[in-house]
Amino acid sequence: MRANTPLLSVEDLSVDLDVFRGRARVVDRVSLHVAEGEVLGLVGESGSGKSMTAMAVLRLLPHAASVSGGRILLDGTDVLTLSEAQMRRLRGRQVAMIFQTSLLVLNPLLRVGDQIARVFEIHLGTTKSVAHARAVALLDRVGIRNPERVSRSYPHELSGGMVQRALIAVMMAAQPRLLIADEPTTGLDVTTEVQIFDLLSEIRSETNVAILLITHDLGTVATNADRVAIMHAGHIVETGPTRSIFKQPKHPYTRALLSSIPRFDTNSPADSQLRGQAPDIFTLRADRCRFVDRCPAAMEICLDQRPPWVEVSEGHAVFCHLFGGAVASTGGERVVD
Amino acid sequence: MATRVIAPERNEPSWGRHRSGYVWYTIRRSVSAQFGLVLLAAVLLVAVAGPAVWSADPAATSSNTLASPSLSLPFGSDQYGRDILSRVLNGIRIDIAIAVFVAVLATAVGAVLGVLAGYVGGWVEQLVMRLTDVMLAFPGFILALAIAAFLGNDIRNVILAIGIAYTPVMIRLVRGHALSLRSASFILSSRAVGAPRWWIMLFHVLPNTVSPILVQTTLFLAWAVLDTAGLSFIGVGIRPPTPELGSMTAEGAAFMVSGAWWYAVLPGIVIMLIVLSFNLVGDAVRDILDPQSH
Repeated sequence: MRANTPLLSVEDLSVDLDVFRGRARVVDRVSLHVAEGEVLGLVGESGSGKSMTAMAVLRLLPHAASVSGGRILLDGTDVLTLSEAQMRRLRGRQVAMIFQTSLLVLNPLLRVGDQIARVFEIHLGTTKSVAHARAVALLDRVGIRNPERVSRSYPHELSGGMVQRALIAVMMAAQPRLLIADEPTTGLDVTTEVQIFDLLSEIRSETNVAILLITHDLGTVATNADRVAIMHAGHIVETGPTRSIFKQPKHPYTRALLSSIPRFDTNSPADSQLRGQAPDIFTLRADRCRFVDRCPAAMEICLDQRPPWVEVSEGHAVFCHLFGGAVASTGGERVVD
Repeated sequence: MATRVIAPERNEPSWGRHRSGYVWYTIRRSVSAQFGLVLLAAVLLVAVAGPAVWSADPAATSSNTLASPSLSLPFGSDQYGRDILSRVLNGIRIDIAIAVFVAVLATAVGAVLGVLAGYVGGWVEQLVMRLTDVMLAFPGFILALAIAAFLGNDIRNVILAIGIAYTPVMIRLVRGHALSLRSASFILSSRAVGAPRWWIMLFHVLPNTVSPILVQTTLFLAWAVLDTAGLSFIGVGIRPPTPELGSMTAEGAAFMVSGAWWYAVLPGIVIMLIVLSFNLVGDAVRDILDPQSH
């Protein structure tokens, strides 16, 4: 029973954005699940709703955005029903989030060690000296050389890679079971990026933490994720095991994304099939495929009917009319009970 | 005249441990900062040691009224024959003490309300900011005058009146910085690991607004000396016989026409020197904490 219950299960989540231009559904009936110890790669263009989905899980959506439907089950509890105080206890201990690299992910005025130690103090009521010792141990654990010295440094004295390692230490301090990583290596050079992902996978195998990896980089996903969910304009359009997605992409959007990667081992030119731009979310109608304007295989039906979810192979499902099937018309991934 | 050319690499100011080097660097470069510091040191020295060194009783009257400055009465005497130098020395103490209390009061209340308004938002912000708007509709001095007139004039009420009048300035300033910090990613990170709101305000928002707060506090000191003297000058501040510099200039002004210039002018010059020293040091503090501002 337990083995089948995913740690995180997002069911039919919708998020609305209410701004000057009007109201837009930036996340539309999205479903996904992450099992314990699993890495799910959530891939999509800027503005596709990946970060909004993640922020909804943490209940840290910006003021203009609000959840308008669905459930977010974290270890069986619907986080959308929790009070702010209950939610605060959950953050850090059950779920934590690494944000995009920038020099300001850590408070410029506090020593690195203190920022980690504070998490112990908040969640575990640890005394200052014990918390500091554990912070140093954690810095050592995330691969920072000379952790004692670094713990007494200020963030501006660290390199970008070290800041990101320190941030991972902050986030892992209270041993969350789910770690959301939103473009954790943007702005880092490739070598550092590899090191950060190595670190994340080490931490995963040690602590069995589940990771929701948000990125627009397919390469990152190919090497680091167990399963992939492709997101386009607020919809998840395809989901499945990483191998299956990369070997047999079904959705025209996924195919376009994969074929837009230039290859150097063949002579064929990169034939990017991806036309146009991501649709303007403020003008989208509910009952149609949101990819239709860019789709090379668009049909009549795509213009006025929401696509069905079709399971094409085990655990691999696609949100598209091309594959027929009168399967359930809502939801993304279905949880296998 | 030879110009000193100092062209070192412009050190980017950094947080924390390299700060002290930057302090000296700024002071070394700035003649006005040096002058201000020396003047402030002199003023503080006089405030602390003055009455002990020149121990004449500021309240003792004598028959030697309106005596012009001499060796035994360096600042002359007033219409009751009191020693003006002794009264000025005590007045410096009183005026600086009032200024410090005013600055601390306005800074503490303003910073707390400003952080709350900026970070918490919602009805807290609406309430605080609308009150602030109403208060800022009046010039600070007029507001202080009204509050002092309402409360009645003694030293405590003067401090309250001026402190309350300055508070909205600090609220505005701090709220603006807190607002911009609300979306800073380290605050988001902190929320993502479950830090409570008061914790974020205390350890993240407040420390990151300390620089502008300190700069404004030094300005408050200068304003407060001037406004205390101003309130006393027009009669709603500290009342005679307390030796306060503003009320001394007011009293002395009546004797200007009869030639007793020292009675009003010397306390006036002392007020000016105190304000000047606070302002120059305030400018230096700003240059150290916020190098982009000039």
